Amino acid sequence: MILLQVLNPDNGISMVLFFGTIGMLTLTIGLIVFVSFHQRKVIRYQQQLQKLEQDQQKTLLNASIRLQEEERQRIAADLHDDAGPLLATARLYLNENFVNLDKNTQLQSIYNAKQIIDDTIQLIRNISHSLMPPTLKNFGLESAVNDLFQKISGSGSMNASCRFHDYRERLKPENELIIFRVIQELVNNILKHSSASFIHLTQNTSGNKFFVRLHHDGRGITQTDFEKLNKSNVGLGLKNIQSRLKVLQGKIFFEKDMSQTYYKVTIEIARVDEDRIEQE
Amino acid sequence: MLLGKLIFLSYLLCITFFLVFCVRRPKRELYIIFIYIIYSLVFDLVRTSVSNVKFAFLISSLFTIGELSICSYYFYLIIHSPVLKRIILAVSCIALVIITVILIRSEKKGFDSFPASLESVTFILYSIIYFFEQINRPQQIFIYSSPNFWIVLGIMVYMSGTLFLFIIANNLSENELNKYWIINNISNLITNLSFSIAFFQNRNASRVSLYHKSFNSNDSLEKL
Repeated sequence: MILLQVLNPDNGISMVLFFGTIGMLTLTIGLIVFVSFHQRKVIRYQQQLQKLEQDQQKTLLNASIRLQEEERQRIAADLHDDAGPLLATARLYLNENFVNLDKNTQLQSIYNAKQIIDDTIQLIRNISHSLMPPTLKNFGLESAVNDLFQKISGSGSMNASCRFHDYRERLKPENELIIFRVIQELVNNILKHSSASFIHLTQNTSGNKFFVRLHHDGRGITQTDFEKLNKSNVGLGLKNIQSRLKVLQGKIFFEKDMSQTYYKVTIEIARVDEDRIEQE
Repeated sequence: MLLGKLIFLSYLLCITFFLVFCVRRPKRELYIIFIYIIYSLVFDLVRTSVSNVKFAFLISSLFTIGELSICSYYFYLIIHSPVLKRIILAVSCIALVIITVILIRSEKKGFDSFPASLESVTFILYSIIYFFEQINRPQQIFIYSSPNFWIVLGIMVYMSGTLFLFIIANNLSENELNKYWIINNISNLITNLSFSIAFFQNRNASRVSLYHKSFNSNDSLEKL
C-alpha cells in the first residue's frame, strides 16, 4: 500500500495489477505442472516397489512349494526304500509254507520276522519324529532344541550346545514349531556347508522381543550374502526360513562377530505380535 | 457485452454438464460446486442489474460470505487428512468472523476489497493444501482425470487472477474498476470452463481408480 502511494497512481497501479496478476497466474500454473509430474513419478515408483514385493513373494512361495515337494519325496523314498523292503522280507518269513516247517525253523523264522518288524517300527518312528518331534509338542521349544543339539553332539561330528536364558512362558505351539523349523534348517545348513566344530544357541527375551542367537566357528554367510542368495534361484532353505519368519513377522540377521572368529545368526520375534498375527 | 454473454454461456455449460454427467453418479462435493455455480450466477445477475451503491455493496458482501462458506465446505470434503480438515475448519471460521465484522463496520460503499482479498488468499492456501495432499497420498496416476483436480484448478486460477485486482479495488475510481473488471470476467470464464471439464471427467466415476485399492490393500501372495 505504501508503494502504491509513492508511485504515480495510474501507471503504478496498472503495473502492479499487471505484474501481480501475471506473477500469481505463473505461480499457479507452475505449481499445477509440478504437482502433476511429481505425482506421476511417485505413483510409478510405488508401482515398481509393489512389483518387486510381489516378485519376491512369488519366489518365496515357489521355494516353499518346492521344499514341500522335496520333503514328500524324501519321506516317500524312506518308506519305499527302507520300510517297504523290510516289511516284504518279514512277510517272506511268514508265508504259507511256514506251517510245513519243523518247530526250530519256525521259531527261527518268527524271531527273524520279529527283528525285522522291530527295525521297521524304529524306522517309521524316526520318520515320524523328523516330521513332528513329540518333544516339541509335549515339552516345548527348549526341550526340543535341547534334544536336537544332544543328538548332534552325540553323533560326534561337532560340539553342539544350547542355553535358554528366559523362556518361562511358552510361545504358541504353532509359533514354536515355526521357530523350531527355522533353527533346524539353520543347523542343517551349518552341518552341511560350514565345517564348523561347534554350534552354540542362546535364547533371550528383551522387552517384548524374543531373540535366538546361533554361533558357529565354520564358514558362514553375512547379511549381504543372505540377501543375494534370496534373490537368486538357489538357497531354497534360506528362502524357506524367510517365508516362515514372515509369518511371525520376525527378522533374521547374519553377521560375522566383531572378533572375526565366528559367525552369528540372530532371529528376532516380537512377542506382542503373536495375538495380532493370530487375529489376522 | 460479448464477454458477458460468454460468461453467461459458460454458466449454462456448467449446469448442462452437471445435469448430464453428474446427476446419475452423485458425489457430494460436485453437488456443492453445482450449488456454488447457481449461487454465482444468481448474484452476478442481481449485481449487474443493481444501481444503488449501498445495495451493490450489500450484494457483494453477502456473495463473499456465501462463497467463503460454500467453497470452504467443498475443501473440507475433499481433504482426507483429519489434521488438515481441522486446519481448514479453523481458518474458515476465523476468516468468516473477520469478514463479517469488517463488513458490518465498513462504510458500505465501494468494493469489499479486504474481505475479498482475504477470501482469495484463504482459497489459494486451501488449494495448496489439496495439492500437497495429492503429492503425499497419490490416488491416481493421472491427477487430471479426477474431477476435484479441475475444480481446485478453477478456484485457484480465479483467486490468483483476481487477488491483486481485489487488493487495489478501493484505490481505483469507478471507471478504472470497470475497465479492469475484465480480469475478473476472464478468470470467471476460465473457472467455469474448468468446472465443466470437472463435471465431464465425472463420467468415468463408476470405474474404480486404477491404483487406489492397490496402494491401500494388503493383498499379497502370503494370503494364498
